[in-house]
Amino acid sequence: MYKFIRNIYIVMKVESIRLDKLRWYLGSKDIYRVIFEKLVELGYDVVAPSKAGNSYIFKKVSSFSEVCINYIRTSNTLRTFLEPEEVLYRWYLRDSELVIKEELPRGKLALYAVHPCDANSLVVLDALLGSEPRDMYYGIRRANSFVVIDDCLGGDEYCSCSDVGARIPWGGSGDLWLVRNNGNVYVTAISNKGTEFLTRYLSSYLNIVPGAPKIINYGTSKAELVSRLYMLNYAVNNPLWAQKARECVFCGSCLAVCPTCVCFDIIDVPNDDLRSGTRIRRWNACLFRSFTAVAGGRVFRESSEDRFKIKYYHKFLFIPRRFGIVGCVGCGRCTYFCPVGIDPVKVVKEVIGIAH
Amino acid sequence: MLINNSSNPLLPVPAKVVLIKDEARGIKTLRLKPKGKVPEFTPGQFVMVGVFGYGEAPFAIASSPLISDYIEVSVRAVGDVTNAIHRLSVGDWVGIRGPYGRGFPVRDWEGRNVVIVAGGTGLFGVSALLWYLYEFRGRYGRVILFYGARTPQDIPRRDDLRVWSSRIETYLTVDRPDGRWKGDVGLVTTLLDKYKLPRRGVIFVICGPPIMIKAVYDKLIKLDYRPKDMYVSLERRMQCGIGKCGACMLSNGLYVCKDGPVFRIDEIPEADLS
Repeated sequence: MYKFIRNIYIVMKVESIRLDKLRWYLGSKDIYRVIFEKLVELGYDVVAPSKAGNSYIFKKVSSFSEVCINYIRTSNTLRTFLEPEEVLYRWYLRDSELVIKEELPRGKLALYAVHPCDANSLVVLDALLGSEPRDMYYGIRRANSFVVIDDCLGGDEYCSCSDVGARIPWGGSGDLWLVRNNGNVYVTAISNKGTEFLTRYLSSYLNIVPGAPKIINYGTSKAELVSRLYMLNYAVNNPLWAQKARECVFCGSCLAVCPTCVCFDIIDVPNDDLRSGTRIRRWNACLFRSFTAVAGGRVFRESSEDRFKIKYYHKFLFIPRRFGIVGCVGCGRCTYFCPVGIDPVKVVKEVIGIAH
Repeated sequence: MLINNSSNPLLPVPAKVVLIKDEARGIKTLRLKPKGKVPEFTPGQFVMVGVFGYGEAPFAIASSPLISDYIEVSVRAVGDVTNAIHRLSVGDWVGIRGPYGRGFPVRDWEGRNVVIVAGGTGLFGVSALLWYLYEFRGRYGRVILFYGARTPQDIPRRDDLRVWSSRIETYLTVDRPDGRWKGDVGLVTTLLDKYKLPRRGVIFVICGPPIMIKAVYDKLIKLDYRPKDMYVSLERRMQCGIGKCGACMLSNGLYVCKDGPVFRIDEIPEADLS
């Protein structure tokens, strides 16, 4: 039977973790070093926030001295490590027979001291790339990853995690969650992998404590904006879109720094001998004309308003409809890096008429 | 799916070019024999064909779904990949992956009349469907093909059209006839006025360039047919074929590669038709 695609309703499937359902432990600040060194010892490539000039970036580090946990946001995202620009496979001719050689990722990746927003972006990536048919390159890296969430110290004026319900880690976002509190650190495990790590390697450094830490700026997956995203179904022709699209300079910064933007091209890179080469994944984004341009000159999404709008609709309507999660985690990078000061969450609120 | 010794959907299977046919101006048909078995597919599904060193592009499988030792794709040379395909010789290798997407719900249409309206290279999007309807002709009511091309020299798959026309009512039209042309002249929409269409129990299938899809759709609406009886096969830029890369997303969030390429017309916004 033909299954008619009726694509209107949003049913939220992902929820914030309930703090009172978790078992909390208390330890000293030294626990950061203990966890880091254990991950290195276990053979993980550890990706951690690190200072770079006046800003911070996530990068692979080998020593704890390179790590800087007192940061608001990094310039790059975890997507850079889980879905990098990469070789998908190599090809060559051997005795006039074509050989295709798969290049799957190897090794284990630890994502260390990431904020709840970035951890939640992994849940969005899991939905986009991990759903069937699975992107194996992402899937293998993600299956071999270990995520240590360091709770946010409060953010800044660019942050909007509370609006999209991403202030608290969602189910499936990470393995350990650390919350700093008056010089001490609350630690809890939020996955089986995390529980195993905690009981095996951290129990001698921690004491079990009753209750849960107080989380500042509390916002859950039941946020007002989230419950009204369906209104975007009826806002396609809102004149605000055209107005905002005129402000946009289509530089693509917002998408380059977005933790949930996954769109890519697959292109060929032949070697000099022309008898071998690689096929690689390279990022592309919906703001650019090239993204929908086909041979012969046709550009399917030609109008700048449509190219401006599709990002919003994808993150705030299509992903919620298809996967039951918001496609934006409110990390604020897009707003921070926008040269003309466009704040996407604010735009969505304006379009559907919620006061900012 | 084609067997690639891995569950990696982005990994192609080597396939050998075993036959090349010149179809019409700038159009060739390639017969491809993949290593391993040819998978079952539904008419309307597509494969990604890649020429190594140039890249991949999506093509509808144009051969009969009943043939299991090769597939055929018909290709017009317009871009890098399609021109590279045109330069291939018999014995050369390509990579193919698929079949991808949702094809035509042919089993649901049994007992009904099927009217196919195609234009230009849109014929390749319905070729597998035409083969299917030809083979299982008895299961359907009237089956009609309206096909429009620019000039008589632009009509591809002539041998197939001849075979199909023995069981399928076939009407051809060209924009610019030459002296020997005996068929109709004008856009394919004019055929919908000229020939009497069944009123009830009719399914329309539209495949062609965007501007033609919209024109046929408007015409059918004017003739009082319902959108829920119309199916369209869409084309978009595609990179992955599995709903990840985002390039083929329509303005309502559906992926042409995964949710389509065949859509019932009321599943998609009118703006995405043209």
